Amino acid sequence: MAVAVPFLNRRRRISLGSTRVQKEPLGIYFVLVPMAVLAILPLVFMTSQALKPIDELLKYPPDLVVQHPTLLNFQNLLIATSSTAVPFSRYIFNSAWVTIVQVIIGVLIGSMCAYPLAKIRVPGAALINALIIAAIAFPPEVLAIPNYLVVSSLHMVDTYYALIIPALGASFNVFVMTQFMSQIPTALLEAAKMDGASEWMIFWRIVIPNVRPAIATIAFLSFQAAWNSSGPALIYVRSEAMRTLPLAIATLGAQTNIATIGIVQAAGLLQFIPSLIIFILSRTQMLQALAHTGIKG
Amino acid sequence: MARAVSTPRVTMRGTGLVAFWRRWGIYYLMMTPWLAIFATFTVLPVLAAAGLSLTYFNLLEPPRFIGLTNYRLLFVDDDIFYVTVRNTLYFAFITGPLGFFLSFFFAWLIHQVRGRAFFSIALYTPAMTSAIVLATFFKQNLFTGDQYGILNHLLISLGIIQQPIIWLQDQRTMMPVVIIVTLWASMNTGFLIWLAALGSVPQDLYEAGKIDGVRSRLQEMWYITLPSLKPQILLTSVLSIVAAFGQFQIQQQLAGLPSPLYAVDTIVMHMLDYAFIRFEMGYASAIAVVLFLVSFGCSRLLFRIFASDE
Repeated sequence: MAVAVPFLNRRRRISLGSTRVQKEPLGIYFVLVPMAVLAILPLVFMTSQALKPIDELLKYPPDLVVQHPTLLNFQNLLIATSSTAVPFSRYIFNSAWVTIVQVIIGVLIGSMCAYPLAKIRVPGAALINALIIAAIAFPPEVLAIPNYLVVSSLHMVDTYYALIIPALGASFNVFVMTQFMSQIPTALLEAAKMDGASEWMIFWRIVIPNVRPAIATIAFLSFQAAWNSSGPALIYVRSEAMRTLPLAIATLGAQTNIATIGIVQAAGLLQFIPSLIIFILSRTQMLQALAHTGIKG
Repeated sequence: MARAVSTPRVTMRGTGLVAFWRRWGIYYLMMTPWLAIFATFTVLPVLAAAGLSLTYFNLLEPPRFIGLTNYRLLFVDDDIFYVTVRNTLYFAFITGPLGFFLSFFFAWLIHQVRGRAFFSIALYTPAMTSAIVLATFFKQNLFTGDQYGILNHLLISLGIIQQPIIWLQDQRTMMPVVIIVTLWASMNTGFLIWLAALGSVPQDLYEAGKIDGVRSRLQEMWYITLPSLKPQILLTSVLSIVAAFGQFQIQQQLAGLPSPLYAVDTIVMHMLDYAFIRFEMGYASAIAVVLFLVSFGCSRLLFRIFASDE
């Protein structure tokens, strides 16, 4: 039995309601529409290029929209490479596997850590919260060398572990989750405790059902971090077969070559589309969760 | 306070520990998986980098303590380091504040119109994909260095230039191109936070503002919206500047590592070069420590400026 309380409804109305739309100043559209066009132009043109047959790719100047769409570039990318030492599908698998594991475990252990930090105020919580905020204040690239030494001393170089485990410690996820969880009314948890619920039961049956927006948010952020990540793979991966999708695209697209340009755009599009779909699916949940995410300082 | 009797205190401490574990143990167990990874790969590495920066370490032999030698070499002898510092500061101080401003500005515009879902998805699009994919796209289409590149073609046919510009090798154009591509993707997590936060300002504040004589949308934004969103200003400004200090993928993919004459190389690229190409881990750690201090220092400054006063 999951208990979802309506304590968030008040906020939902505020954050997503259209109350702020009074008279719409038309001038805003003159700024927003061109900006939106500019922003989606790479995706549109990439799609078009990926679907172009070779004669259209060679056409100069290029058409913005493909005339005779074909899946030939995808075929060349996926099927023509299937006989090579490392087929392209292997890179897709590598990225997909790392991403799935990272999202599931990351959401699980991140939520488990955030709950005592937000609602129980265990001794040391203030220090941990301060460390989490401090970790947001510098780029993770600073940690590359010690992380490499730990990974290599644990014999994890060139394994999936190296791509998954260090990234699970991302502090932003716990930061977002802690802030969202702190809005759960304490009385609700105390009532459950009076009824004899164990700590685990409270966590699974009461806390988790009430933080769905935050779960969607950190799931999306973890997905994006893992699926788009190239830094760790650059450092921890040695063999061709362990390379991730962004890294494979980087190699494929390092040289501008008229023979491969369609294939590179096809690969880029395959990388792009999952992010687009997942963003569209999780957007409204995210906007609820992020509404109260900030640092008081 | 009388604290004469010591024996009960010892037993108290014993039962205290058990009681402490009874009270909090389950929660510490819940926190352990994430905390262990956070400590191993984030907290301790900061200290480890500081320690390693005082050593000579080539991965083959154990680290040898050499004091501040790495820092002396870095600041006195390493000319390329200065180039990368200059590039990093130039790049970060343009894309950091501008990215922060643009994501607020466009979220604020979107907040005032219909079709928020469409506009927020559209503007977030460039930030959805990997920086590498975006950079590859721009490299292969817009900023191609021959006359077939779209931008060169456009400029030539408009008669603005006669010869194609080799965008990604020309000293004058490399940095601007890197900045443009970065800004293209600057509607990122900060943008999402603004989209969410702008809707969370209580409506009655605006109504109260109207009574107090707030007239225009700009006044509303300046006197009501921004003051009530200080925590978001602090968070997104920190995220923005930190991302700018850490970014190297776009530079590397557009211009290579190292870029021609180090024109767009950043501190991170200099560190990666020494760490994973030359295997001078001690020296590279010193570079990492400098990067840490610069970005952490900037973040602390933002904490000073934008801290909520309550």
